[in-house]
Amino acid sequence: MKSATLKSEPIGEVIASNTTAFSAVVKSGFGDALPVKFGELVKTETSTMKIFGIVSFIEHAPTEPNRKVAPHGKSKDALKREMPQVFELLQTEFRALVVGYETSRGVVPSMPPVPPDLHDFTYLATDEEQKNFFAKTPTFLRTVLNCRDASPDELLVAFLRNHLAHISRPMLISIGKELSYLLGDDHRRLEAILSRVCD
Amino acid sequence: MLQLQAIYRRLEEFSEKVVTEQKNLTQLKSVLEEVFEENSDFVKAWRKFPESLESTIAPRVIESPSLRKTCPKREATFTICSSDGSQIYPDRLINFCLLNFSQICFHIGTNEPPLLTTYSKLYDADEFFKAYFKDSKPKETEDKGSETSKERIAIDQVNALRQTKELSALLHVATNKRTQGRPILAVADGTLICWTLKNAEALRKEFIEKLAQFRQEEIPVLAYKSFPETRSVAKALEHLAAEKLEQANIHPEMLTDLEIFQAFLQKGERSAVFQSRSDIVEKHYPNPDKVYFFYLHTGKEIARIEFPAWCYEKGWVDFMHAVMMDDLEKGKGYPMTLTEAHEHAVVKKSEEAQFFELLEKLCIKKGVLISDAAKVASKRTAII
Repeated sequence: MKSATLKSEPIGEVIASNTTAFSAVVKSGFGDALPVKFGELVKTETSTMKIFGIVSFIEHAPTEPNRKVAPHGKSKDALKREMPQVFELLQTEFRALVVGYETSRGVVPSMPPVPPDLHDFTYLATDEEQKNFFAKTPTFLRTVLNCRDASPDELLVAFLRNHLAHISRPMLISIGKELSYLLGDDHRRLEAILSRVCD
Repeated sequence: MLQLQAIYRRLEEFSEKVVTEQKNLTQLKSVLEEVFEENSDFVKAWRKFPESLESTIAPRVIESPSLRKTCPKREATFTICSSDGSQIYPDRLINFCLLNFSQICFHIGTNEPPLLTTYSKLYDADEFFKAYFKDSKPKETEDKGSETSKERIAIDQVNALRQTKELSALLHVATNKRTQGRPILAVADGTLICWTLKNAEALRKEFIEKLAQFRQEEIPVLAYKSFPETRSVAKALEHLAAEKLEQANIHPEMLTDLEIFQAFLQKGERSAVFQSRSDIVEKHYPNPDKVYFFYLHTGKEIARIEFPAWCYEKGWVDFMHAVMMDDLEKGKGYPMTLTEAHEHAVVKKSEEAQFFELLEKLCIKKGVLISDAAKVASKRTAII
């Protein structure tokens, strides 16, 4: 297994972007430990702005869309030794739901004025950035509940569980209240989300 | 929707034909087993190579034609390289061609990373023509209506250039990626006989020199020909064993080498080694690089494997046989390494469109608007 990716190391490169989401191809070789997981806070960074996104979809696929993955009946180790091109022709791509951005004036919990540039590198958000992000009003909840890439509830649970260590108790209560408001009378759904965040 | 009822009767007739062909194949096998016997009159005559064969393309016998060799055990680790090429042909307004080459290398049985790379090169038509075809006029294409009077590189001349440069690319990757103490095999697509270079002396010389360099570097090289249409062994049968075959109701003049070895070989087996007597090889190839070949039953087809004579003399044939069967199994019927070489070399429609768009932008920057059939065609999308 590869050692955990350092926060300052790029984990991927943007290949598609708009103001609501961006997609990136994972930098590490296929078959290595993934440097990113579902529901994790990631960012793109330029000299003037960081754009934050929650990983909402991860996909393994061929690098060439016209090629099809076929079973070979070999273990991964045997494949690497006997058919080494197989792993070179596969890649992992992830999509991130944009939930805020940061300029010199601090974190803004809304859509950025411009999307990330194509070929920008993507990084995991640092501890400091996670703290700053969760110190703001949790407007990301509405964005996540409208997500179409994944089940919004699953994404929300994964996101909160991944970053629980950086969410203060008052903020957690604030998230719970906001979620209760957004879900209206659907108490079972609220319970299903909250019970899984903290169990 | 398929109307099976409408074609049922015809399908029945066809199925009878298939059954008959299969029966003929079985019959052909038993006749071949008899005539290919080392002590048969046919083989004795073939080995003497009578005058009647001289004017044909019948090959020389190197191993006993009765040989059916099962696949030997493969080396645990080896390196396999291949290369392929594709092109954008010149057209009415564009007086140059683009060649795109792949270079592939796998270190099988190791954890070393593969090489999967491509490089492109533009050739100016006039310079190319002066360098390689100064003694012959470029052929006009059949579509003369769309040709201007200005001389252009003809399609088969671009193909000739590509064949030579593919072999150079293969030699380059093989010499650069070989590892001390590990066997290596260089695999080309098609043939080692430079048919297309008959009228291109400079390119032919270059091709033959590159082939010789494999020998100097001691890198075994072969060419894999899928579904060969040759009739070389068939020619020997036609001239020396016609009577025997006709007695069994087999018409030798209708046979191809593919049919002969489809009947004679089982999956994984190779035929005897023969020596090609192609004109171009006889006249221009040095003795150690004369083209030898065998046929291989891949399980899906009969392939022709060509290699220089020195590979046989140095005992590389078993290695080639085992490596190719391994590569064929991994590629599910077609060599995995050649598939990769092709996939990486091919200029896709979308890339061709990008190429012409870039050219158009560069011309517009210089104040010239180009509008060309090739460019338009490259942008055309199939409609529903």
